[in-house]
Amino acid sequence: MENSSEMMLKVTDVCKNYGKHEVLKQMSFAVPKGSIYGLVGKNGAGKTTIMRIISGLQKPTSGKVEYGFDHKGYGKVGALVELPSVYSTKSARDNLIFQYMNLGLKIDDSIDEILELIGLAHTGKKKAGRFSLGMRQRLGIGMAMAGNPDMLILDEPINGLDPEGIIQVRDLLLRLNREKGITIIISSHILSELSKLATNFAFVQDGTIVREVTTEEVENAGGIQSDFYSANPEGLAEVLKGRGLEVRIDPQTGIVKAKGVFNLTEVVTEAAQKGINIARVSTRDTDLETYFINLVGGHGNG
Amino acid sequence: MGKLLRFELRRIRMNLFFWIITAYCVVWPIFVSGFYRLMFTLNITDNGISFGALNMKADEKKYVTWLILSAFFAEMPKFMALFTCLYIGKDTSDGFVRNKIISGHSRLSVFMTNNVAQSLICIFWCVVYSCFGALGLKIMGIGPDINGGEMLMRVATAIVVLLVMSALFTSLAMAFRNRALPVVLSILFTMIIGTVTMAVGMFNMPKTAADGYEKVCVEYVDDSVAKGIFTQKEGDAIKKINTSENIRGGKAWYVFHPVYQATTAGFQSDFGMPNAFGLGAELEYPEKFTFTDTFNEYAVKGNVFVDQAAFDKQPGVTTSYGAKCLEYVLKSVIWYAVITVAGFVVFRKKDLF
Repeated sequence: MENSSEMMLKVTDVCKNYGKHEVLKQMSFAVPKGSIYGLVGKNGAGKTTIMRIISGLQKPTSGKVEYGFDHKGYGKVGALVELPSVYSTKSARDNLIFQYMNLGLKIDDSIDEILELIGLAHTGKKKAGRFSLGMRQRLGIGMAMAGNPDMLILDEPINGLDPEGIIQVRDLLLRLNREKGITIIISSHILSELSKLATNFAFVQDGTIVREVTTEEVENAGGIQSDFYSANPEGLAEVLKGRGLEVRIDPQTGIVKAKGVFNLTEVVTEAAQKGINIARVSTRDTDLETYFINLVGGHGNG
Repeated sequence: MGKLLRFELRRIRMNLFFWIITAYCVVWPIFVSGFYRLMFTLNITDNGISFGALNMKADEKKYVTWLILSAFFAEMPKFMALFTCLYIGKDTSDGFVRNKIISGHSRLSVFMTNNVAQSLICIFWCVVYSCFGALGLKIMGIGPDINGGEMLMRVATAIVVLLVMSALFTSLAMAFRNRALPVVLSILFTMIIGTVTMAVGMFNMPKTAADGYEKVCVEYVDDSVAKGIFTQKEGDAIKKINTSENIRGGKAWYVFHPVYQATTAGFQSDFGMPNAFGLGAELEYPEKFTFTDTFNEYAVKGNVFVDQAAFDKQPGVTTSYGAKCLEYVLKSVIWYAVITVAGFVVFRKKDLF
């Protein structure tokens, strides 16, 4: 693989067919080493399928997947694809012991460290079958972490988690990435959470990658966007246009939407001089959701 | 693969169903031994029921020993089918197979580990069953008489033949994502295999042996006609019935005999195992394998009573049980390999969800 020192994974022209149904169509992307690589796409776009292929659970119909590290060693790749595979009649600790045995690892204190890390140290002998979905998810992540993998593949890891659980998993993944240098490939429907985690994004649509970007590129793509609430949207729009902003009025709500940087005091002063009242202004950077909707269209799930 | 196998065996040791079946293998043969003891000592008279002293001939002891030691052949397949399909099916449906693949184990390693683990379990259960059968016979004062170790060779052969089923159940369980389907298929298979075995076993006669039988029969009838025992007409009628083709089973022989030769399906029939729990038949433990019994049982009509020794001298009529065992072991090894390879080819291409 080219630039193997920089790329952890390179997917090239991967196709996957189920009978006549083409799920992946020449999908290509590259995952930089040390990144948190977010896969974003609607349901059925092909995110889970490519994750299964990367994990070795499925074979691509054509194309190739190259790894920038020795991925064939036991535990070099950890994955949680869809539902966590846990032994329901065993405790969290026993599940990790089984995973260690599966990997041929020595049973040592690192099991307790993982339990602490995933917040399940207190569960004692409680069987995994009696865990909440969130606890099972965390246990699944813990099992994927066994053996100190170089790469983690996580498909919807925060599904079913409560807000506290989401924060815990997010912090956990950020720590794994920053402290242990683990490269993470992750997909999630909760784009706001994904945007807090990922350093890179690949937008998946109809089985192919439509764009690969970094977090900075997402933020810079739309610049600052502002919504102005006023009783005279047309008059306010003229004021904003005069200051070089890109402006449009939402015909449904009458909100004036402006793109670009401005001095709020100057805008308010000029509007007041022209007898235009501004009731409220909200300003934000372009977020992942906006970027996704602009790119893919519609309001489907990410 | 070694680490994965140790892991699997440890998991199996922690499986409750495994121990329930093991307990069955301990208790049931002892119970059956006790049943045989009762049957051989039971006296039913006009004065009522009483139990007398055990009075068994050496040959009877030998035969009962064989029946008890080999009863696992008919007993274990249904348990193997259930255990293998439920255990591996749970691994597949709950995602443990996915865990293993993700962890870096090759598909070959995962498949072969399951195959070997299930085979080892099969051997373990059969050995436990036989050992406790022998213990039961000892306790009940019936035996065991292992016939100088020859019986152990037969038991070992029966275990090897059963391993083919173990490989089949493993391949089925790993081929389907659905847990119920392999269970149903495997149980159906175990239910029909006995009938298939009986049917195929009826066509075990080689043509040379049947031709030899016809020759002896013709000589016997001609001699009997000459001595005035049969009329010419009666003799011709007997000869017409006892042709080589009739003895072999007619046209069906051309279909089922190749099946008998190519598969292990005739094992129960060849080794007299279908009668394991029937005491009506003569308790005979033949020292050598002869097709004459098959002829007498299935084919010969017309009240022909001839010297068995005359048949045994014909080419292809008799063979040693050692040779028969070797034949079944070789067939089993080939089938085990074929089923395992076919199962792996399916599993290798299977998408794991």
